[in-house]
Amino acid sequence: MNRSICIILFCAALPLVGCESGRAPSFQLSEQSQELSGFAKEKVQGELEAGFGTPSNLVVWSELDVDFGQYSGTVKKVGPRPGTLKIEGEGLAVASSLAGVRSLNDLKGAAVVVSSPSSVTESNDESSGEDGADASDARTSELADTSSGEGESESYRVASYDPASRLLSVVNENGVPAQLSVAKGDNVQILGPALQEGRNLYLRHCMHCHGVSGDGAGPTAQYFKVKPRDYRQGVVKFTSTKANVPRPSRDDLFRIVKLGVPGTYMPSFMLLPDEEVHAIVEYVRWLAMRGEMERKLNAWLSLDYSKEAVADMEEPAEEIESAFAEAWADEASDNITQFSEELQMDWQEADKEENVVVPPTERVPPSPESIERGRKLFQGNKAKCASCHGLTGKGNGPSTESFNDLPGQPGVKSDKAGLFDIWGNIVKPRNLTAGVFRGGRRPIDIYRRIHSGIKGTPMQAFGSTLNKEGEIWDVVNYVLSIPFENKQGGH
Amino acid sequence: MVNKFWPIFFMFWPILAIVSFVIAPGMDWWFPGPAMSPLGEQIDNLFYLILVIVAVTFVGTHVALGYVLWRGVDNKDQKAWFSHGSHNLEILWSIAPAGILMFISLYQLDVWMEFRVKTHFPEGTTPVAEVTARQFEWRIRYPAPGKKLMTTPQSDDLYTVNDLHVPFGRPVSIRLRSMDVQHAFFLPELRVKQDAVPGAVIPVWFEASKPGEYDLTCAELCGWGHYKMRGRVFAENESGFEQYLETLQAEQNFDGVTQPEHTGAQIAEYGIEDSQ
Amino acid sequence: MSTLNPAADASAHAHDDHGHHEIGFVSKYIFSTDHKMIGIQFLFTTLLMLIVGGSLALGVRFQLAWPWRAMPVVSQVAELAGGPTFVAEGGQISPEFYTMLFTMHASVMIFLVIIPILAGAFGNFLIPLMIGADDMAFPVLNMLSYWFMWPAIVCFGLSFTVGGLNAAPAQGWTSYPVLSAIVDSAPGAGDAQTWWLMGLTFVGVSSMMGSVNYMTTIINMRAPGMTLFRMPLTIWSMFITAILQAFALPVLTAAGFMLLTERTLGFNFFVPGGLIVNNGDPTVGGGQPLLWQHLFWFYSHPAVYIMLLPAMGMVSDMLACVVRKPIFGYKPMVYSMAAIAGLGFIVWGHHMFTSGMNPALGMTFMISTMMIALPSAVKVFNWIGTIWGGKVTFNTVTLNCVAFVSMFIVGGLSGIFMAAVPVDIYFHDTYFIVAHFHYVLFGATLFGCFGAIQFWFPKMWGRMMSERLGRLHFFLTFIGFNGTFFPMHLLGIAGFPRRYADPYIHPYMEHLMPMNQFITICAVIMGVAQFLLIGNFVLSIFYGKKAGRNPWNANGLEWTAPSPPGHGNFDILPVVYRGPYEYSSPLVDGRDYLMQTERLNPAAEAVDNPADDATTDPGSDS
Repeated sequence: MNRSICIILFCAALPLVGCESGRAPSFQLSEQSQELSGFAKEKVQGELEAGFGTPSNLVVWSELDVDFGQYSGTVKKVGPRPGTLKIEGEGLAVASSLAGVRSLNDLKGAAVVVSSPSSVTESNDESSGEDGADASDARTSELADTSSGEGESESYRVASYDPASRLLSVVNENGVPAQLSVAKGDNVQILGPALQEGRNLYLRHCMHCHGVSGDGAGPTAQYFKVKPRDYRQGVVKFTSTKANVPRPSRDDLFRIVKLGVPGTYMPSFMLLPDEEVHAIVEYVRWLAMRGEMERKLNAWLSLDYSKEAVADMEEPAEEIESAFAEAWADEASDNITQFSEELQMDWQEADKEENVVVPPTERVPPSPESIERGRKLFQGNKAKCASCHGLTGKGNGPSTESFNDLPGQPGVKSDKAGLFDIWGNIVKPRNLTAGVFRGGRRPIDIYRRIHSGIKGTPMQAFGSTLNKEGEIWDVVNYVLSIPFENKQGGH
Repeated sequence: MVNKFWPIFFMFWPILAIVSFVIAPGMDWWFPGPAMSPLGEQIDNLFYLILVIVAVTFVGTHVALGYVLWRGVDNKDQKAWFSHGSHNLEILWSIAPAGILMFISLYQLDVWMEFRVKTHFPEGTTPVAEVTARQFEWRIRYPAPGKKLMTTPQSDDLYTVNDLHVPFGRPVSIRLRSMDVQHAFFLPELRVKQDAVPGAVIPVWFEASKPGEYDLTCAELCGWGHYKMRGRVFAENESGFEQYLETLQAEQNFDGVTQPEHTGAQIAEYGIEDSQ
Repeated sequence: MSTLNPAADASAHAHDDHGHHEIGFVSKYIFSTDHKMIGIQFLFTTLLMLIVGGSLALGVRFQLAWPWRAMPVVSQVAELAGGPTFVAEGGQISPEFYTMLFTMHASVMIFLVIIPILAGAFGNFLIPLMIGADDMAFPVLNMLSYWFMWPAIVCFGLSFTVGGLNAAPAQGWTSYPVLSAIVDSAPGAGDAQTWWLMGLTFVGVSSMMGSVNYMTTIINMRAPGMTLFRMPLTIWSMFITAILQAFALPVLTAAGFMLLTERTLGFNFFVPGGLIVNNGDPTVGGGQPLLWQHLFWFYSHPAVYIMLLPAMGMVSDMLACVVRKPIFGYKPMVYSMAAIAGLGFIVWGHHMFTSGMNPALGMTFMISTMMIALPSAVKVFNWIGTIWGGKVTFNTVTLNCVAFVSMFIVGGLSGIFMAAVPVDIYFHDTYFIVAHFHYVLFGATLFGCFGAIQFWFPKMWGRMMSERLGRLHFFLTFIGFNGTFFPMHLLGIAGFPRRYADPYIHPYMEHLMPMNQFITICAVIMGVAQFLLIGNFVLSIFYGKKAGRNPWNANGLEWTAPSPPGHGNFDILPVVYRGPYEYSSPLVDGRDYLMQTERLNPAAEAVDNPADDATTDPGSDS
């Protein structure tokens, strides 16, 4: 029976083998990328990994307008085991409000740069993209060669960090404990901890709806009537930025996370500490940038190198591939630099104060006269609100049943009736009688919706149409009064 | 002596159980703090009363069990005690527990009535907000400062989410509703719980004894985000409460021009302190 | 009411007729109408379902101990299934998957394990043997009651797969509307919930068939001399349980149909109007969510007694046998079981104290709930009284029975906290409740089942199960069980709500993660230990030490039959002369048991059983 006991227990223990599976989340290529032919897809994948990394090993690409965060300290002692360092310095205490949650990777995978004290630490910022430096260098943690040349630095990745003993374990790019040639007093910088914090929070709070890659297609998302946002176009509906500034500002994203989006499944994270929300916002922006980079690469390559295009070509496969390799070697670096500059510019624009929509005049008081004017504008021909929102604001206007232009593609009609957004979902114009305003119910919020439209949807910007003084405010007053029409005053 | 292992084994674990209850408050495996409401204090009192009764019963029955097992193992007689029972004992251990149980059940009927029966709510309990639970947050509607809460939304009502401010030191009530499925309004530190039933409006009253921040969680399965419904009740003095409503009103009427924009980063100013 | 005239006895007639009847393999082993085979079929099926339900629970525990880590087994399955669910996430589950885990854990355990193992496996096997009948009153109905379990299992199984890996039923086993009524309200509220309801219906049909059978058999087919108050407590418990089933189940079935029509035909029993679910259009409504709760708990509260009483009865029989003493207070034991069952019909509202029902009902249900603690207490005292003065040998059966008593004390006492309504305000939907019902369902019922398996195994297979493996299994299970569920009392006191995929985002619970990890580790130990039971069970069928008719020297009628009993059960029609608990009787020398069928010197017996002599007095019934 002894043997039987052993066999039984062994069989039972087998499923537990799966425990340390070492699986990790991984970014998914978009549907567009999947349409590229194999060799092009590989390159896209490689570029994205080089520039952004994987969820467990984030790459700090200092070009991008993202607050990656940085911790600094100095080496106190090398050892005890190979690849370990004892650090001192204030910045390295990992302040995590996830103190109780050990399941996520604290600092693991963050890039570590160790440099001798003579090198200028600010050179990290200057080195990126300057004096013809290869864009790829600026993206990795190897900032040594592009610095001013004084002093040397070495870069590794964090394997683990114990705040109590301040022991840092580092591995090289292959995951092997690094052979450290550092001395006491050398500078240590850990790059990207803020982004990592954001990633940890995102995986915990956001991923199951918004997806690992920010594609709005997490496991839970398919069951929603109103789909979670797909960040990869860099467009968010409810912004405070002008109509011609497509990106949201950090404040916009902060508001959305804090207040939620009523009328959807995006809950309010009001009670998350502000630092955590800021970290999440940075990570979301970074995900959006990754998505946009993928789109730009696809836009460049898909014309000639999508599966369809390649199938149409007459040349044999090897020729096409070598032609591609040549073209890539020629143009990739410049193009990618250009793309990253575009990304940086776009997102920086959104945060500029001058791009926030501020009404020229104070709100017109919501008197019955103003509301009446607003109603006339709503139902009139100038702004044609009723064509989508309906004469009574119920969201049942005639456009909901006609074949309309696709958003962002004027002149191109959709082959299905109704109104669509740029993510391909059918959208219903807001039922204003319900009093639920997804982007916020403050007068300024409604003003901004009317003035700059709701980006990505058929709700256009009416700032130039309703350009007489006070017109937009009249409409705002009317809209805010719709839920209370035909109701007796309660006082 | 090998036989004695099992009686000892069966007595070991009840001792462990009692030890764990004794050390639990010190290890913070206990209530999330003392009850922060007068009703909660009474609930805690009843809990401790029952705990004592249960502990005595637990110890008593297990001592008896241990004893009979111990002696039973030692029993070297050819036969066991041939008894079919004892009528007197049956009466004794029917009446005594019955009495204790009836006592416990009647002891705090008044507390229950005070909590749930509208006519027994404390004098002067005023509705301070309407709390609508939805998947997966708490949407709160206050009346404008100085006004009474109406049953239907008014154009000057104030709205916020997940953050319920109330004055402390006096009983206040909320109108609890649900927009979609069943939820439950659970304030662990105040010992308050009430299901939010769709289609119904349930008045829930409570009194925060001290100012402070109290957790609000959902206690009825409402879908995948059941655990996400984290809210808080912020109890402050009357003037702080009034001020909060006024800042909420200012924020809600903000038109982008009249005051400096309180950007997203400064939502914290509106009485929503960082819960750090 | 008992059959007293041998000539008219159905069993004798049947036995003579079918002495040499040949039946094929299918009729003998698959669609058998023999109660013993059906009982064994139930036993195998429920043990299999125990593994399934237990694995689901381990998933729940894993998430609570290491939230959002890649879940073992699930990650592998997701990859094998080709994704995309959970593959991109690296095996990290999503919250709706967690809600499915606990929903299906409870559903499988309650409907596919505990209820069938008690009534289906043990009830079927033991009832005819213990009352001296040759089979159940309705053998074909019996066979159907087993085979109706399989559509139920298939329905529950299908509910996992339709709609996607993370769209299995996720509304809790209590399935409250509006969450379970509106398809859009949760990922698992789609087709999966419909299949779940159908599975429930099949289980209900199977149970009803069983209960009709048991009631009829017990009332009509007892051997001569087997008066009602000479029946073993196992039979009493099965009888009372069958009555509970018969009266309570139709209400659940009705509620299930109402919910089914609500979901599929657009009826509106439970959904009020004006609700906005999943940001859709407002509901049309007209219904009342509380209606479901009343209907559901009207069944489900008696259901918990259905899941307890048979184990109580069996433990009584086993205890008396292993301590060689009569049961202490036989009639009080019977009356207590009847009281538990009767009171069980008027306490359902204690699941609904915070639900928003009329507060006056809170008061009435509190009083009736307090009262139902009384018969349970009486039974505990009587079990201790049974051991008092006995000769205790600690074998696997004894261990499991003593564990039953000890765990039941904990479970019963923790129930008193919730019976007090003001305290229930705090404890409702926290882990205190989880601790309570696991102590009574697992700590009491399941340990009782483990003992019963060990005890009646020789009768089923003619071999003994391994004592060493049995004791080792008990030891590990007991330690694992208490390590898992006792700390949950403390979690409940700390305000740890049920059904939370990630409680640690709430600051007041962050510090409870180490305790949850401890609980999970103990749960894994407990889970692994069950393989010892399965192994012991399967191996002993082939390699167990051969057993005779009465390896335990017990008194019941079943021990007069061969091990295993053949078709028709008994060689000769048993005649009963006394109750089943005459252990250590002074009427016999040299041994400490006196079987029910032993005919002693009539003069001596007259002293013992004044109302006896069944063959000449057709009217006596006690």
